[in-house]
Amino acid sequence: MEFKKINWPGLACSITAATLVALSILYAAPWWQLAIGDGLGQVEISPLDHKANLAGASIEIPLVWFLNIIGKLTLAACMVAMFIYSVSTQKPFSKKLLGFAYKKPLLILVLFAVILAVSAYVAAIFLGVNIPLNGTTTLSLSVGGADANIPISTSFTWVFWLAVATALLAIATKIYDWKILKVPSAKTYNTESEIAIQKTNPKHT
Amino acid sequence: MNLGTILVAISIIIVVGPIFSAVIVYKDNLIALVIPDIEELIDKIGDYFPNVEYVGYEIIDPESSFRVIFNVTNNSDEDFTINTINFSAYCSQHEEVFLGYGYGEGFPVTISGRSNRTVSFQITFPMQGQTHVETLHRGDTNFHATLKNVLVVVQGVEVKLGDEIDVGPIEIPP
Repeated sequence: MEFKKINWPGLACSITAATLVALSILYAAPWWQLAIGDGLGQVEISPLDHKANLAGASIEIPLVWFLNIIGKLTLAACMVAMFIYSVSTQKPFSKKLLGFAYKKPLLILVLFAVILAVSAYVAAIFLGVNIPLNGTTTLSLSVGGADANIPISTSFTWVFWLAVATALLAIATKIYDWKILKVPSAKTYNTESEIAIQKTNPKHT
Repeated sequence: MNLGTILVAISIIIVVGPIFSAVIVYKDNLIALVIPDIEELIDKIGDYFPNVEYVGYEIIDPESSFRVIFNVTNNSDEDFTINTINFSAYCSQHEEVFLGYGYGEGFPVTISGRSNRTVSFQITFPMQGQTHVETLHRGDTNFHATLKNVLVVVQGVEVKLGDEIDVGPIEIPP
């Protein structure tokens, strides 16, 4: 293995992606969390896991569980493909692995951000309260003659920023491949012998 | 098979597989796939809030204050913290007469999951309340107070109760 031929951002991306999957499996580590009152309720979500609890009752939405499976499998596949690509950038299949892997962390991150933003918008319409994506607010409710002021705090966790780093590293991997490694496209050169010919005679097509 | 085709197949299987499994598992009740069990949720939330039972009262100072005692039972597995409780007390019989104010003693109190504990409130009478009780209720064995402006802070959530709470019968010494 030639160290100069390793795509280092890709290797780092596969490590951070593996860390995200491991954190999810071991700790169900959330990317974003919402706390209601002082332990009255909480929501902890990520594309890989979800946990919602209100007044001691766990709120289970099976569809979200299945969507989390998609998130886990997608990130795991990205991790494997990115790792194999990163250590074998000169192989004819590497471009396809890169193409398969590099968009996925960004796609997961963008989808997660969009779902969060839409949820906050829907909450603003139906509950009449602007829930910040990162901050605190107070939800005022009147129920049965009682007025309640419910403090709500939200925050992104460090795991979210690890996911951002993973998405950026994935993009950096593509740029590194394009600008630094300059690996010939697998679509043009399908076999190692053809790549070898191209290396010795760049004008050969 | 071409690697590109295999990777496309993997991408499709990763997305379609879990969705297909979800539909198969919940084929008899697809609504349950997207909506949680509301009845079970309401039952669990109902269990979370403790039962409050009036136990009695004791005189602290015959002239100026007494203590109202409640037994609070936490039926949930989670700890339950009452941060503060404040209220004003009025004479039930003479509705406009302010008797005094009350507050929870030793608050905040935390009732551990699946346990109960006694919670007490001290009601203090200012001169106006003392005069009223001495003048119109001395020796009254069936004195009732009405708690108004009840402010409860539990688990960090502030609740102002609109309903009035009747406390009694309280025996006023002759």
